[in-house]
Amino acid sequence: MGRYIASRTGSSLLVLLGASLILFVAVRLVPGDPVTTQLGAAGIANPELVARTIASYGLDKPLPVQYFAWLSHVVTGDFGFSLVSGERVTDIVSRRIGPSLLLGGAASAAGLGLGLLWGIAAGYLSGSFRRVLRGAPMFVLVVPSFSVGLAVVFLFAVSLRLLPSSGISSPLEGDQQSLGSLIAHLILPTIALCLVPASLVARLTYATIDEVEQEEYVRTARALGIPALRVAVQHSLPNVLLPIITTGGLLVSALITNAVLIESVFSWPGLGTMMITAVQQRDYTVVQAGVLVVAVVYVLSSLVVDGLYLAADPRVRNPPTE
Amino acid sequence: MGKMEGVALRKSGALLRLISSFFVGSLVAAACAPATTTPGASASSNPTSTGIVASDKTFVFGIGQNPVGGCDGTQITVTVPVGNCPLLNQEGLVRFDEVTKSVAPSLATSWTFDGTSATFKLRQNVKFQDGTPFNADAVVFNYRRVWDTTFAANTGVKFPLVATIPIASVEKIDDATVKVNFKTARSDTMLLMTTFPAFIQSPTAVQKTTPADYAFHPVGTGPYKVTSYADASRFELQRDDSYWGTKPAAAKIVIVVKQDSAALVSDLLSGAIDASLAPSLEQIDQIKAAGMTIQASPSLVFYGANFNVTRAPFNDPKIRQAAEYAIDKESVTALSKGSAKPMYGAVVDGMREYNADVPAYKYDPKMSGTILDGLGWTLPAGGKVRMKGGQPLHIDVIQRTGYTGNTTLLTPLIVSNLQDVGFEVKTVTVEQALQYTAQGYYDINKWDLAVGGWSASIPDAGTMLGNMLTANWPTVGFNLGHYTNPQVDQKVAAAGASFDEKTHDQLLKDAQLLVRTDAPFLWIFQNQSMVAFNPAKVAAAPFRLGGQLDMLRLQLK
Repeated sequence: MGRYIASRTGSSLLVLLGASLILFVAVRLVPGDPVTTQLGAAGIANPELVARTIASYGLDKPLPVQYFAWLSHVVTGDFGFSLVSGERVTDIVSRRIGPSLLLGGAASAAGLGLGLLWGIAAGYLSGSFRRVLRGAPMFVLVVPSFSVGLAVVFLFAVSLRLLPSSGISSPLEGDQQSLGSLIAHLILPTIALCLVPASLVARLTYATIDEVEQEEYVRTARALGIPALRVAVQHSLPNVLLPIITTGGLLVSALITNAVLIESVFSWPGLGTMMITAVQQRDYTVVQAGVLVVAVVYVLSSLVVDGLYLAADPRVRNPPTE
Repeated sequence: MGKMEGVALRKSGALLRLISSFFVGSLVAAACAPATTTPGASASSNPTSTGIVASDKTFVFGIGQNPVGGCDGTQITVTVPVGNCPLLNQEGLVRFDEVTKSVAPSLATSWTFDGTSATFKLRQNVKFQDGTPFNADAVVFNYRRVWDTTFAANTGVKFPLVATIPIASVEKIDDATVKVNFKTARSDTMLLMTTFPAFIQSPTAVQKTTPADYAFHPVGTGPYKVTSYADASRFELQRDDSYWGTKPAAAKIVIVVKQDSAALVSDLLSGAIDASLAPSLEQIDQIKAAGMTIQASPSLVFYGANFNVTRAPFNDPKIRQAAEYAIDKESVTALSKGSAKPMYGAVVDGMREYNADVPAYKYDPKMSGTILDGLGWTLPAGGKVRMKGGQPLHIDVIQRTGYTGNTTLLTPLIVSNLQDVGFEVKTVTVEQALQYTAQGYYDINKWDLAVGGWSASIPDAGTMLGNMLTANWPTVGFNLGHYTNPQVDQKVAAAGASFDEKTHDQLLKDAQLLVRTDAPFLWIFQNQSMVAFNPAKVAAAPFRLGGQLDMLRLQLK
């Protein structure tokens, strides 16, 4: 097991290194640069001034030189300074990562819980309920999550005025926020963000239930006259969880992708809105830090999934020997 | 200097309203006159205080744009940063008075200006918000920090707008007097001295931390202290009750920055904020129906399109004139719900140098057609595109992404109106971040018409024309269409060097006539700045003339 963990950790570090290289090059390949963009916005096009400013940021150096300079700082936790605001990137990311993890965590928990309940209901109920519950995930998946966001804002914030429409706190609260206010601000973006993972989990759950229900041990249990509920709880559902754990990484990926949109719709001060702004402004250092943090979250979640799989499946924990 | 619309701000409607000039309207007597001594002033030397009552209330203001970092005026890239924060926190030796439309005393009580130098008498008993004294040493420190590259405090700091004020050196005469020497004698110098690069900040505070950190914790002499500046998405300013001048109405200002202006409208309607800048056109009816007040004020910001004069067809001024006549500028007023006013010439109506005698390019498609017919561009029977020598009258129109509000009207209007008179139009769209890059508008081979806007950082038509239409592009100015006319250059340069107001204005009026004939820019509309506010909380929300809410003259209920 130790070797397995070491192997997964090592490969994760390699993935991160590869991701850092790819994102560094990719960001530089995007047309435009922060200096020309910013000076142009200020009405300055003087080529000499532009060149001097580019040089002052070190952006005139060859890409490999820039990459290794950046990487050597990143491994010490120094992401440099924003090319637009001049602020430390570490400070910007530190402020943004908390709200993102909060929203991501809430949406993950809600998505998983809702998806499991949904999938189990769709797996075991019969009649029209079953048809509706099985058709609904597809409907949710084809509706863009930002549309759901706009709809819930219109309904709950603008029309009913039950919940705040955007942000993480009310303007007057600032940093002095109550828990109740935080939860109130969290509800709508969580609803908008959790529906996609919930749908994925639901589909996977009822599909797996269908499969497991055909297994011999389940049919045998039924033939022995064991009550249906007991069969489901003791024999079917534990086996349903394994594929859901396996797809946990995919769910994180879906969450991250949608979070960028949802954070924007709800003006949520997380990494998503930070990245959108940084990409628009070609703020290389902030984009690089943001993507790397997302990559780390993704890799860590994959490691957690592997760990859970290890714990849940004895075949992985104790592989058969020849 | 003037500037084109920027990328740092996502909401283009808000964009030029925000990065625009500070001022509009009639101009500045003191600015043009050399050897003028402005009498000392006390009660009237900070923002005009009529009707302003200092209260203990908080004003919550929403702005829809991308956050632009920091509140240190000298380090600001765009002319007007989020919420105009430096104007609340810091002051220059002189300021532009929004009511009298003139350069007025601020941290200096009086000054003499002879064209190449200015001597300022400093206000006494003024302290920075950190309690340290404002004096000649502080002024020298600040100006050397920005303009003297050999000065220690200049190291590692970027002052992007430093070149906009031609300061050569600064000397302390005594504790209450400084002399500033300028590289060139320009009539707009004192106006330029009212802008951000010349703002004075606490030397102690500046040296206490790094430039990047300082930008988020600035310390000036202004009426508000920055108490919280979180990522420019929300920041707070607390009124400094020891402020030397008239205290503004709001005890506290909270500025909320969101990228989605619709979210701000929701906040306004739910009572979470008191006012929202630049509501989208689609939401104005909804805002009014909810009992909120919409207020529009004229600004110097204007929109239209640059003609590329380096290639056919717009290298011919007559075809540019035909295009000018083809555009129904009046239609914008109705569609923009009051946020735009038709514009017919190079200088915004309301500026002192505005020449009312310049014939307007009023909407006249017949005239447009006649001009094009006269040039041999004729419509074939049953055809919609004019032809000449077998070639269509084709143009490429370039625009950027991200337009909102009244600016969304620009390209459709240009395209449909030009098609109506027989142009074949192809539209090219570039990402907002690439607008002012070699992949965008800087590639003169890519377009014939470049949709965009313009603003001026000071209310001087000469400065604006000089930047917008200078022949020295790209070294100086922002003349995207590469227009040149030595006569215009000569008149604008002479106006810039003229300290006689009458001569200065006449030279610029003459230049407007020349520019009118040359038609280097397709002027379409002058922007009207808009704010939506809750009338239960706000009594008056005056604008700065460039389009920003003037929170120093705010009146609360």
